[in-house]
Amino acid sequence: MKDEQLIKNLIKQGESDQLEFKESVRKEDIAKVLCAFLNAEGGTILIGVQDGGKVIGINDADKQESELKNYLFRSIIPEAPITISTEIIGNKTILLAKVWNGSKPPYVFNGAIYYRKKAQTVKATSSDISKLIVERQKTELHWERQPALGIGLEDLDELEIRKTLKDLAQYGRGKMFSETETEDFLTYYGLYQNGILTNAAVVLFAKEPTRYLPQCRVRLTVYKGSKSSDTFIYDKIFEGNLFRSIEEILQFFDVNIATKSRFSDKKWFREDMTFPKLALREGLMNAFIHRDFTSVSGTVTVAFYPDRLEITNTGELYGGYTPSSLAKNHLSVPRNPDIAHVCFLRQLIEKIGRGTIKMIEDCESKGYPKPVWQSNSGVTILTFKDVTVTSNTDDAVNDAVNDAVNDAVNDAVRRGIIDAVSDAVSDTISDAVKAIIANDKGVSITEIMNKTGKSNATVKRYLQILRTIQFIEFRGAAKTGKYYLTQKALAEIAKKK
Amino acid sequence: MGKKRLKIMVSSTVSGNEYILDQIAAILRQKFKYDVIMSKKGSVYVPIDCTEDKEKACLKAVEDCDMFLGIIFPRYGSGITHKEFLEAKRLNRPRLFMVHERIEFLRKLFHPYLFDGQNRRTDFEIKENSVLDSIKVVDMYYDVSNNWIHSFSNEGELLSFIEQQYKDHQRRIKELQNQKA
Repeated sequence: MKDEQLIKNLIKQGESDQLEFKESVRKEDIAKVLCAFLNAEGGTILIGVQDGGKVIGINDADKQESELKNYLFRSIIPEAPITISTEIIGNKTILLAKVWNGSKPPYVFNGAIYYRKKAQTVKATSSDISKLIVERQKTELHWERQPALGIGLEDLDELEIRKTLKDLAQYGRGKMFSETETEDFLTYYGLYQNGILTNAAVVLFAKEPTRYLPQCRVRLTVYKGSKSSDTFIYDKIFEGNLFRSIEEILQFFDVNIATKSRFSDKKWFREDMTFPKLALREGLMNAFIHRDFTSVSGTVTVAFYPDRLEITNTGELYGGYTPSSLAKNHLSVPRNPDIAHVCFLRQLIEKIGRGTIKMIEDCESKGYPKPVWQSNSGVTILTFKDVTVTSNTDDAVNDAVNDAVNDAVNDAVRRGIIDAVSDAVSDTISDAVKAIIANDKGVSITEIMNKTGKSNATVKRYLQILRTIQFIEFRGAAKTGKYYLTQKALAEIAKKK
Repeated sequence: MGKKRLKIMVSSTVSGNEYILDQIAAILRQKFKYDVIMSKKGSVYVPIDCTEDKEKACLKAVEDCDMFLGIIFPRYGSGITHKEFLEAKRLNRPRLFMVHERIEFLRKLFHPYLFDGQNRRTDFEIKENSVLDSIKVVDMYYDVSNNWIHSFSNEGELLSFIEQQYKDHQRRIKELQNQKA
């Protein structure tokens, strides 16, 4: 479903407790309504739409969008993640502003607390305010707001904090801070309270989060068969902070996910399709911000099977949502709002409440089946069918070869059997081994020359080193024979896998 | 006499998360119908003859209020808040203090260092660190400790205790009138 259709569907629903139409960009009115949404159940404002639902559009949308954004971040207290985007309906441009329900009520605009009652925005009554104070007290008990023990400012990843400050300056999604104001930044976003870092700060910014919170670990496994009880061919634990882990996992996706090919119905040609990158990124992101961190054994796992990819996080779907409601426009309140807020500042959450729809769209446009959510027995599993790792660039094997060759070469150098070699030479020697491994019928010098791009003399020199360390052997007649890996080489590589 | 709004001054040592003061002010204003003055940056009531002197303006604000709410977070800051507390005490304004639970802990921990055998304050001071900038927050606490005091451990509790304490607005007005009479 395209954005335009989504918005048309919204307009059809008419104004409600979570939806408001505004004809024009009257900043104060918009701030009042968003303040009310934050104090109630969250909601959406469509600007450039009349009360009855007629789309009239607004002029100069881009300028109005950036002015409105700046105004809202400054005037609604405390600061909350607010998505503002321009949307096209027919030939009209409108603005869409959306918020989750807030995690630090009561929200205040212009000195007053607003509340949403059906389709009306009103000043909160005495009993509304009492309710908000009770809610606020509950949020203080939340896992991510608890003090993290044994960690200080010096244990934080300065680079990731700097990146966040840079993103704040670039995208203007919140209050800006200079590089010398790290403490103020952390305090402002609730990650540093009276001189003590919170659990959320550890998840987001610790250099080594698993030292304090083992549940920050993420495991990525490539299984041989279709069950997690099957043997695996690759297994890695990521122990960095949220930003580092996500970055490393996305890199793994980029390098290892197989290109899917299909044959067109009518013409006999092959079409190579890239994997749904946006959907995978969003799915991974959701696993982090919606996961339940309370158990130390809790985790996020990324598992590749021969026919699918599964991203699993501890914690069932949160806030009353079901797998089927995720396919619609919805407001899934994040289980970890402080973590989600910083991810929002980093542009890792693009548009509130539309991530899952975008995921479905991305999969469909790349020719992949729709992702499937399951939520039970304390976990949420997101499955992408047909997303698999490619077998010919098997990272596990490559790493094992590199390690085995390096160790054997270093050992031979230490024992004075060969002269020391540079890293570049060692890499090329490894490439030669990979060329041999890929072909169990043996490989000729010419084939290794082609694979490594080196001259005949160079390849011969490297093959001599491999023979000295007993990694290869030559079988057959002098002119037609080929190089094979020795049993020793295979055993060394297997050990590293 | 119509329904005259009582003027309450909120004075706090908070730094960084100033939003909590805006929330407190909004609650006092909207739920309990007080007029609120805050010594927070940009929002203090500044009489015309005090525009050059922030401290003077803050102390004038204490003089003009009917009631005083002081909040001690574990951060001393510039010392203006301390002066406001002392002024409220000197003028005998009806006052309530909300104190972060860590302050009582600090008081007990540092008591032997803060006072000598004759119970005189020594010149003891801590080295500024991430959880506390000055031991003077404990002095502030001593200065108000015979007043109406409440401890809190987080922002949610702070809001909740303030709500409880100011719930009975009418009774509070009567108390004030009796006091003035």
